[in-house]
Formats: sequence, structure tokens, C-alpha cells
Amino acid sequence: MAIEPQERFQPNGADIAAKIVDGEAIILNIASGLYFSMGEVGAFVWERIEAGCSSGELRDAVVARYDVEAARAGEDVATLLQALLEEGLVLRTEAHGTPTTHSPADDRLPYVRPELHRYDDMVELLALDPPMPGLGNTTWRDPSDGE
Amino acid sequence: MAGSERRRVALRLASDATTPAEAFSQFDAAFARAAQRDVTLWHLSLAGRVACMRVAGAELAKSLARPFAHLRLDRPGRRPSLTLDLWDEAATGVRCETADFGDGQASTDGRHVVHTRLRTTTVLDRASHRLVGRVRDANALSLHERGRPLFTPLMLWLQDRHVQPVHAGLVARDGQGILFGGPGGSGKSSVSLSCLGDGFDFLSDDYIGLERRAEGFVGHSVFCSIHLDEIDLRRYPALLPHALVPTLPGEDKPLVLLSELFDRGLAPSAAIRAVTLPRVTGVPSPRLRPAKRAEALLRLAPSSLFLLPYAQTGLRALAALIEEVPVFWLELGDRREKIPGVVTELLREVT
Repeated sequence: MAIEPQERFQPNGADIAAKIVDGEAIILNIASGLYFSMGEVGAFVWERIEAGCSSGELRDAVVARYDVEAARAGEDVATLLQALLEEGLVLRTEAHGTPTTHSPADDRLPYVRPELHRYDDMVELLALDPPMPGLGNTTWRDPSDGE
Repeated sequence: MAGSERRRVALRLASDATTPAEAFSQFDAAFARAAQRDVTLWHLSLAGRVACMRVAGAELAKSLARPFAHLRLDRPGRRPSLTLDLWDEAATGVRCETADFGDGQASTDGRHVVHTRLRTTTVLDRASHRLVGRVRDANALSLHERGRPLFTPLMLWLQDRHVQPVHAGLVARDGQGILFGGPGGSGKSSVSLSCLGDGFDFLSDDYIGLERRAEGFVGHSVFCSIHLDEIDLRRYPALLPHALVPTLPGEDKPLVLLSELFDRGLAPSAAIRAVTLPRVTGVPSPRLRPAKRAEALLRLAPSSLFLLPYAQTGLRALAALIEEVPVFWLELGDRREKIPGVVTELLREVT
């Protein structure tokens, strides 16, 4: 299913743990046992996915920040979104975020096509040593919390 | 079974007859019966909190005491934050069968958590801070049950106290520690053992509890056991008589309970001053190379977070650690005897 410019996405809830460190994104898919990384441009896109940007807004944000033409940026963003969808890292959403208007910066940064790097070395280990029963969706607070 | 399918099977929240809460009540009553004959009681310091362990069955008590021996308290000093009540079914004759919860199950509110690993089944009540458990037969425990008993419920309890389990080794001098993070096979055990042999305090070769305090990050020891490969056993022949050999399918490395060899050098906690990422390379001598923080998180996070719940919280904790302390690749070759010198020099630089 092609990615349309008006489509929005969100991280896939409790199944995902993600963090950006020094401009790189690290994402764990707790459900599948796979984990992923993305370089600077991919991390930039991920932050804006979390903010609720549409596919078109992601493209515009990339063009504003990085030295890349809109057509290429649009294709690469769509490809990345497709990969994120296929790996269960994002879901399509109706929710709207609060995107900002982007004007291309005078000194745009060098552009590198965003890629989703996939690691599967944990999957086999987890099959041998099953994880804790699913508590990710259950929140429990100790009334005496603070000890 | 694909990973996602396995997890959906495991994610079964109780909604009918025999629930985790009921299992806790049943186990509680069974322990009370088992404890009428013979109970061994002791206290230990777990991440700075007092835990009280009560065990019915002499052999089980001996077995459970060993991996926690370095944390034992002569006097508790304050009320326990956790009580662990366990009984040996074979020794006491007290049986208690519950519904089949598979590997584990949580109550819908998350308060009661049942967990089964091989011959040990526990129920943790997170509100009353009490764990009750049954071991089928203390004479038939796996290496995991001997070396890292109650691993999963203890890690959950630590998480409830904002102490994050991390898959890492940790050694220290004078309370200042160097963490060795990475997946299985990266060299954590070898590095930790080398340092112990050179006079460092040993806290872990496998899992520590990471806690953020006002003065910085602290690593807490949980178990004083170590899994060793053949090279390590040949290098340290004194360990051989104490090595518990693998007997069950899936067990591949011998286990040594360090409390049986060392009455010093096993520390409960240490400040973390640097993170290193061991990896086996072809270098002639071990050396350090600066690591990117993203590399460190990618190396630490998966094996620390996939086995336990609340991964997002854990990821934030790990990210905070690597943002606060320097991180290095620790490249390892054949010259393991040189590892302590490299770690000593690093400790000197960061403290």
C-alpha cells in the first residue's frame, strides 16, 4: 500500500522502546525480539513521527534541514515509512500532531539516505530463554512507592 | 513458533478460576505447612534494601544461600523490604498444585505475578512485598537455579524499586567500578574473572541492578556466581574442583559459586565510573577504543531489556548511564592476563 503525503503514523505503542542518542535512533521491538538502528536522517524522521507529522510534512522537514531535493526526500521518506510499517515499529494513525512550518536553512546539512538497520541475533536466544510474562500493558503502582 | 506468536501465548492475563492471586494464597498456605518442620532464616542486602529469606528444606536452604552469600547480613538493621518464602516439595512432602500458568502469568492489575522456570515456581505479591515459591526437589536443580535462583521475580522486584537490571559484568576497586556490557559471548565473564584474580572486587559477570542516585549511577550485585568457558577453567585451575558441570539440555558452561572460594572480594555495590563494551578481536593485547554512545546503547540494550518488562523505562535508564559516563570498546585477544592492567588504567583515568 503506497504511502500518501497526508498519512500520519505513530510508534507502535507498548511493543516498541525507542531512544535517540547523539542523533542516532535505537529501537527495540519487544514483540518480535528484533532491534533496529537508524543514522542521523532516520533519527530526525523518527522524532517527527513521534510529533505526529504526516508523510508530506516529514518530507518537507527533511528538505528544510538536509541538502536534498524534495522528490528524492519524498521517495526516501516513503521507503523508510514502509520499512517501519513492515517491521511493526509504526502504525498508521488518524491523530494529528503539531507540525511546524519549515523553511530551508541557508546551510543545510549533508544528506544521507535514511536506512533502517535490522538486528535479529536476539530472536534465537529468546526462543531458548522465554521472556517474562507480558507485563508491558499492565501498570501497577505500589501504594508505598518511594522506598 | 515465531517470536511474536510465542509472546502472544505468554501474554495471558488471568480472568478465570485459578488466578495468580489465588495461586499466591495457595502457595502461602503450603509454605506455612512446610515451614512447621524446619525453616532456615537469614537476611541479605539486595540493592541496599533488606530482604528476608525463609526456606523450608535444609538442602534447598544451602543451595539458595550460596549465590547470595556475599549479600548476607548479620543483623537486618531494619524491617525487610522483601520477604522470600520457599519450600522444597520433595524434602518437606508438602505439595501444592495450581493451574498451568505456562512460563508465567500476571494478574490483570499486575499485582500478583506467577513465574515458572524449570523446577521452581514462584508467585510475587508486589503489594505485600512477598514472594512465595516452590522448588520440586533441591537435589535436582539446574545450573541456572543454583547460580541465579529466582532471577525473573527478583529482577521485577528491583524494577519496581527503580533499579534497572542490566546484562553486564561489574568490577570495582575501593567502591569505584567499571561496567562490562554486551551480549552473551562478548567476554564479560572472562574480563570479570581476570579482574577478580588481580584483586578487583567482583560484583557480576552477568546481571547487575543499575540505580541512579544523587551522586551518580550505582551498580548492585545480585548473584556471586560465574559461568566459565574452557579457557578460563584452564587458566584458573583452582576453580576446577568447584565447577558445577552442565547436566541438562541447554546448559553449556560450568558454573562456579564464588562465595565458596572467596570470603573477600565480592562486593554488594559500586559506583559506575565507565562503561566498556568487550568484544573478541584479533588484537595481540587488550586495548580500549572510544565508543559512540549509540554503539553502547545498541550493545547494552537488547540483552538487558528483551527478557524483562518495562523496556521503555529500561532504555531510558541505559541511555542516561551512557550519557553520564565515558564509554569504550574493550578489544580482547588472547592475552587475557593483560586485561586487569587495562581496566586499572581506565579506572585511574576516570576517578
